Amino acid sequence: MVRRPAAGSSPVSCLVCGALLALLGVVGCGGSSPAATIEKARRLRESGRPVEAAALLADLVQRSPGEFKARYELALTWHAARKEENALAEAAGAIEINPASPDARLLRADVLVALGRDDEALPELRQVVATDPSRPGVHRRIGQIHSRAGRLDQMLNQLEKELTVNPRDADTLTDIGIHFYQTGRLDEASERLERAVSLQPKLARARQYLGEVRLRQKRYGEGLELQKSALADDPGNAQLVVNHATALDSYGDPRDAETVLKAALDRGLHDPRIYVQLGKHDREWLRFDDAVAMLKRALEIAPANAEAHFYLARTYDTQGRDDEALREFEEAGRLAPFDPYAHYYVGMILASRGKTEEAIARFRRSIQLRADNPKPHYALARALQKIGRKEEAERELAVHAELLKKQHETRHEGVATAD
Amino acid sequence: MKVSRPPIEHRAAAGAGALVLAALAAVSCARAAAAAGSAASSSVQFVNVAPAAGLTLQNVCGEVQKTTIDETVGNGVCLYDVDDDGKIDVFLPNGSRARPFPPGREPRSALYRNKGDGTFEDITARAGVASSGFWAQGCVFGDYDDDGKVDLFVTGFGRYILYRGLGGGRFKDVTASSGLKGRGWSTGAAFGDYDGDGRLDLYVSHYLDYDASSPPLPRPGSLKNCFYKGTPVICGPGGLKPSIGRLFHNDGNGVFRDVTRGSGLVTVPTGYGLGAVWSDLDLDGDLDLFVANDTTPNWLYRNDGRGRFTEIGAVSGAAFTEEGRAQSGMGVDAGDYDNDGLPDLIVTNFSHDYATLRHNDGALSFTDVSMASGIGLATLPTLGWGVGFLDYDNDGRRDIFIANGHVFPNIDDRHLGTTWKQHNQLFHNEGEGRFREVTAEAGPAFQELHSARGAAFGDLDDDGDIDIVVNNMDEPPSLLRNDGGNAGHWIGFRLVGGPRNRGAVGARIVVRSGSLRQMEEIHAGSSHNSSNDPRLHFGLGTSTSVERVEIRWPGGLVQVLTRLPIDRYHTVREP
Repeated sequence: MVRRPAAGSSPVSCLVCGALLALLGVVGCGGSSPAATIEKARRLRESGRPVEAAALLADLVQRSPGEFKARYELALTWHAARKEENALAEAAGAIEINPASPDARLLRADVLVALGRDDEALPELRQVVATDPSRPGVHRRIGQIHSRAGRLDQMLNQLEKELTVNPRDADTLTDIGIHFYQTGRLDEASERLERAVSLQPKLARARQYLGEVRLRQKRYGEGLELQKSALADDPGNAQLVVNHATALDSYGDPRDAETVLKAALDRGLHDPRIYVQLGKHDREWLRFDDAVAMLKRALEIAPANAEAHFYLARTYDTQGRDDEALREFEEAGRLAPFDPYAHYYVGMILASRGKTEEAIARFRRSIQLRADNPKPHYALARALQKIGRKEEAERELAVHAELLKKQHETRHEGVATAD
Repeated sequence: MKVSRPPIEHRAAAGAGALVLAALAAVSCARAAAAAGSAASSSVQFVNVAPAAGLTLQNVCGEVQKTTIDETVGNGVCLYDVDDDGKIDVFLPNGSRARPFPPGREPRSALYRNKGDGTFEDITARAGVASSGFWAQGCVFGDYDDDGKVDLFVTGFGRYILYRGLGGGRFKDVTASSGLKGRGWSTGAAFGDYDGDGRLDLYVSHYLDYDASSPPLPRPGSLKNCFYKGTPVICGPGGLKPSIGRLFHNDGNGVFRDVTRGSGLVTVPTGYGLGAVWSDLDLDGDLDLFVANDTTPNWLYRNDGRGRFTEIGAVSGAAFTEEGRAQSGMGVDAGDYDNDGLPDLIVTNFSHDYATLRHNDGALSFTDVSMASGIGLATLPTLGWGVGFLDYDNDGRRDIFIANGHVFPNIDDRHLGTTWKQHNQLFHNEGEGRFREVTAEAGPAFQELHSARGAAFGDLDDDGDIDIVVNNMDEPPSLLRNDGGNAGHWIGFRLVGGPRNRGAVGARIVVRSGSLRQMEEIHAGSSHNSSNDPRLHFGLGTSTSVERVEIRWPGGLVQVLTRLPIDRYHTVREP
């Protein structure tokens, strides 16, 4: 998608807008030509002062309501100021003046997207394509709408079209690369992301995902380096921090993982995901008390973070603190009712307390949510054995064995056995 | 051994008259005995006396750098009185390497005769068990030909070796005529009379389908599954071809017959077999077989009493953790840690996983109690091999020892909270199903760091407490002398079966002392590639009498003994 012009630091209330408008109206009526006003507004917009720019342009539009350029620029400026309803009205006005303008329709589409009205944006974009098939950025916008709607084939089709008109668009290459990465087509992902990085070396997102691809390709050193360099250019990306730390824990020096996470905290990135990752890291290092502290900190920031509750529960469970573990597993399950694992672990604790029937219900729920996880099948089998339902138990054991076999085969396809 | 024994009241008061009173008092004393034992446990110190004792064999296991999996599994330890002088001797199988040694410098295994004064004499050459150049793994003693002279079976790469005992600590290699033909990589071995014909049969675990005649093993990082947390490491066992364990029936006349096929044992190569132990896990009078498999589910074979086995690992709960996960099974032991009369199981595993203690619930059903017992959490950082239930402080409860060491020498560089050399671990049985790790307080031997492998347990100085011999990878062994374990009372038994199964392998003894009821079996082969002192040892704590000793001989005969003096070994012959 075309990058949105830099917005002001915060929207200003309508009252303030009005006052500014009036003030600038007085100042601006000194005889500047429409072209000079538009140019001045553009500079203000581009320097992060879109509200002031809008005031200038609004005055101009008031004076020359049939001036397409003024309306279009005002719409663009309201969009930059995140005043989407205003932008939408002005864009409509511009289209009314010049229905054939692809710029105005493109802008309207962007505003509709910003308003979450993808279905209305799509016809506008199609109309732009019909008018100007080689216009850069349009197919990419359509692709992103398809992506949000889960129409991934259509998304890919549009992004590929975008590349035919704009073969050096690193953002589109990155989007395609990410799509291939997410669908397991690693070689294709690698090729697209490599091109994106070579076209735009500072594009952190491309390096981030190329790093992920390299890790999946077992080119661990390269993957870690790419993540590291992406993080240097995008230090506020908490997900990248977490991914990099996870990779360092698995494939690099785990001490570096800890350093990366703590450095993120030091620079003020107090994202609960970082505390959760620190908790997981401490668990891996068998520092269970530290893990508990980190996971509790994550929950102070985000009490409804199901992952934090889950790992806190796992840690308590390992420490033999069953009551606390049960409470946290229950909370994790409440927050993420479709997560099969919390149900499974609740079942395990209930089973260990002799509450076999309740445990069985939990194991069945876990299986219902994810049938290919061997663990609840085994646990269910053991519980059924305990209450004498041997035939059912044997069936569950057979399923468990079959799933383990499949898992074993999968592991040998690519994942380190020792891992 | 050579430690001033704290004064113990009633130590000599083993007269018949005193026993009656003691028996009456014993019930009320039982709980006090346990408490006393617990207090005493901290005063037990283990000291590594191997160098001074003359146990100096330098272990060789491939190259020190360890680039292939054959260099990582390591060797066991076997204990037996090979020369019938009443003292427990030590056999240490040794490994080798692919790169040739200068002539005459090939590694050899070693047999050390216990001189009874705290030192050992290397009698390997005259015993004829050096097997120079043979890359050995494990060993087990047993009198397979019932001639009263113990024999020795050795596993390793490419073949087995069966040494027939000639008496006086001398042996003869009779492999060629024994019918024991093995290729590939054999590991843990265990003797046991599985079909009740009185002759010792033999189970041999096999790990990979690999020996010197096989193509070279893949190098670190050369295959997709040769990485550990991103670091190139030795390949396997996952991704390499497993082998199958072998069951040999003793046909008599010194000949064994491979009966693996048709016996009910797993014959599809699906498990990387290491530790094996025969035990009558369901107390039905025949020996069942438990096999620890690396990265694959363990096998538990139920014996139908007629020489047919059914693999019931999964249904019994012995194959997987409580989460239904296969572990990296290494060493194994069967022993009754909670004195409920049923042998429980312990299996050592990989680092960042736990040693698995399985409680025997009866009817061949096991529950993973690792975490609840305290064993699980404490063993997460370590990679365990040799293992045994032993009552090191004679308090009447079986404790647990685990020999530890990693398989990746470069693991230290990864800073994962685990290391190549590790402390061995000792766990004190606190009762009520709980264990407490006492490694830090169990003496200087537990401060040492080694990459330990096999471990065997026995009273090497006949002082009434259990010592431990550990085979350390690429180093000399350790002899962990137990100082102070005999502060509690004890009783021991050497069983002599006859006319067959002279070592009474598979016999079960139940000792009643007050409310304390302990059970032990004679195993020939357990732990990691190892076998223990065949005598059975029972700690009695502060109890000063034993009311009843019940021996169930391997043939089914039950013998009851009463009023036996304590604090000594008794030799009992099968009636």
